[in-house]
Amino acid sequence: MLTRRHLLASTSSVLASSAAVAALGGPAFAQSGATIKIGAILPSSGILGSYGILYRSAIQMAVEDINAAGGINGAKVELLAEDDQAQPNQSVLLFRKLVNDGAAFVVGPVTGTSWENTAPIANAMKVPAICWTALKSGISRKPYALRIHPPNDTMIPEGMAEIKKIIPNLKRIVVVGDEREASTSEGIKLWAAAAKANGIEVLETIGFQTGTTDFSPLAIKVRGHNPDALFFSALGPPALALVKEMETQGFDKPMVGDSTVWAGGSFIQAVGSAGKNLHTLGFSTNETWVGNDKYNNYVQRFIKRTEETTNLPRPINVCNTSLAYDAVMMGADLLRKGGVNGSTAPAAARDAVKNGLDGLKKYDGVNAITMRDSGDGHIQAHVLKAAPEEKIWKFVLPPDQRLNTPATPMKL
Amino acid sequence: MIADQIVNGVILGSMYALVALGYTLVFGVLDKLNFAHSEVFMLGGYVGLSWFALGAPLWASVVVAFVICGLLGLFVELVSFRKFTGRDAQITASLSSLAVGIVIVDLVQKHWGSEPVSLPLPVELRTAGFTFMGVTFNWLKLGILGFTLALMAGLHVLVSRTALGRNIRAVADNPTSATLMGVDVKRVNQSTFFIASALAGVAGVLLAMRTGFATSDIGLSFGLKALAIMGIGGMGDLRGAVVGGLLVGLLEGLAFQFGLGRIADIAVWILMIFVLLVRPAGLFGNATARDVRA
Repeated sequence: MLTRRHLLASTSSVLASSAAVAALGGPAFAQSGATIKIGAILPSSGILGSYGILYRSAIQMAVEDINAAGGINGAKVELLAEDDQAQPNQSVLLFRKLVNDGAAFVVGPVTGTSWENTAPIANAMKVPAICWTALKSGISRKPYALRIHPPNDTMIPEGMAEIKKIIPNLKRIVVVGDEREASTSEGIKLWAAAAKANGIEVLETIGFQTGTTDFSPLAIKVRGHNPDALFFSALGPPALALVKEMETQGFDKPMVGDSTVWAGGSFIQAVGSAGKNLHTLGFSTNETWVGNDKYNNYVQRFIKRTEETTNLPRPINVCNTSLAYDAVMMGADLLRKGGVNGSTAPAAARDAVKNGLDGLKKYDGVNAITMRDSGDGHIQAHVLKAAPEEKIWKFVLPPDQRLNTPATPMKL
Repeated sequence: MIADQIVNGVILGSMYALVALGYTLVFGVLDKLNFAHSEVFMLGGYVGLSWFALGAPLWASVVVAFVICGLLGLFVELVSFRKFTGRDAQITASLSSLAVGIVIVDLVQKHWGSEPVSLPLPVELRTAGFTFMGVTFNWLKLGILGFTLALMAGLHVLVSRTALGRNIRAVADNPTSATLMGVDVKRVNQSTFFIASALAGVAGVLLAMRTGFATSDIGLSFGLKALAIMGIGGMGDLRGAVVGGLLVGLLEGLAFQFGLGRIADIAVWILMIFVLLVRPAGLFGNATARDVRA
């Protein structure tokens, strides 16, 4: 029979053990069956739901590969994935939750605004976070919050240089974009700056707000300028509305978006004929990469797995999912090298990842990533073109004609 | 180019007006806000899109959206408004309709996903048009405008010239008196919900045709603007919904034209604040009456 004394005693012991665990930096991995927990923050619902579902497949595949290869120093990996709906406040709350749940490191969140808000928290809590997306520059925070995706300060100048090669007569452009989202807000300014640096006249820069429902007034304004091309920076859903409206308005000049439209699980499948003059920036596609078996193997396995486990529209867009895979593999490698196993306390495991990230100059995963002093990765960006009938992105230039000179990070 | 924006603003405004009419019709009759209305409008786009994707002609997709969304309106009336008849139940009914709206969004996202779904209209249909005196006219958008105006005219005739319209106005004026005069208030409420929701469903399809896709967050953005338009025009006043919708459509278009695109999406809210400061009951309302005027 449960007496008041028993209840008091057991409550006291729970409180005491909780205090001890808190003092030691969270629950030891051994308490949960000797697994090492990896956190992931990504939207699996909301307007960027398809992005998260796509990336989660890559992350899950990485976890499966790690466990199939024997885990990390004998300990299996457990994925704790949380849906932040691409809302920055949720990203921060879920980061704290994952820390309390004992994650050795966290991958994500996905958007620039979320990353900008989460990176300082990662440092304050001394928990490593590895972001594989987000484009706004200057928001990674060493030593705990690193991003392996190249930000727009290198992608856009590299892309603009290649665009000049592809469209040599480019003289006058209009730049539009979402001014509320962190990455796209900076993207607008970087497109304009890169254009000017390449001797291209920017006729007007037009901003809109996340949630804009009707792009026809904007499209009429753009059409009125009669530019040689439209450059834009917007997440998938508003970008889709924009390019469809431009088509409806009879705009048949090139449209160039930054890599926000390259990524995601549904944009390229939904764009249809509006994508016939559409370009973006990226560094990988569904196409076979001649001579890169590691990449081709990833693409083949990723597409198969994602087709089997999700109902995303076909064909599955590979885009930068390999970076999500690499983010998990990188963290696991650092845990392995740091001697972390199933009985290591989270604080020690987090230190191992942080120390590894601190000295990281290059990472050879599916992608060859060079780490910059800013805590961001660099991979050379190239211009991709939508193939609306096949519903995939393709490189515009063959490998031997692509520009491969890394850009000096552009300052605004 | 300004003329282009004005024409476009009128087309956009007519669609705002169509959704706002539904809000105002229900408010005029029941004196309660139906927050599920904007999500019924959103669902209309998906219903039309799905039927069109199955091979149905556009007109059939519109008809199906009209019927299905009208029936959904009856469901909303049943679960969120039927029991809450007293004036003190305004918040309860509105909260219940808000909950129904959230459920509709969730079900749509479960079925169609959370990102925009394309309406596979032939590109020729979306882009065909002509230029007259320097202004570009798009046949599809003109068709949408014509259809929207016809629906609004039809609603005007229904409310002002038919027996059902007389009953609607009687209930809007005083439900108790209407009951004493033999009006079936329950039936009038149901009819009002059916008409308002069916119109919203049609507006949803028309918007999907106009933009080329359906998206589950349109109820929150476009639909909420329609709610503000009702406030601008005057709560429960059909003329106000039409004028308010056209005003907002024009304002948004001209904001982009004059380099104020970043505030275009909040223009409706700025206008609402301004109008309510000057005329607290809206453009066509007055401080005491909330009757439906045709």
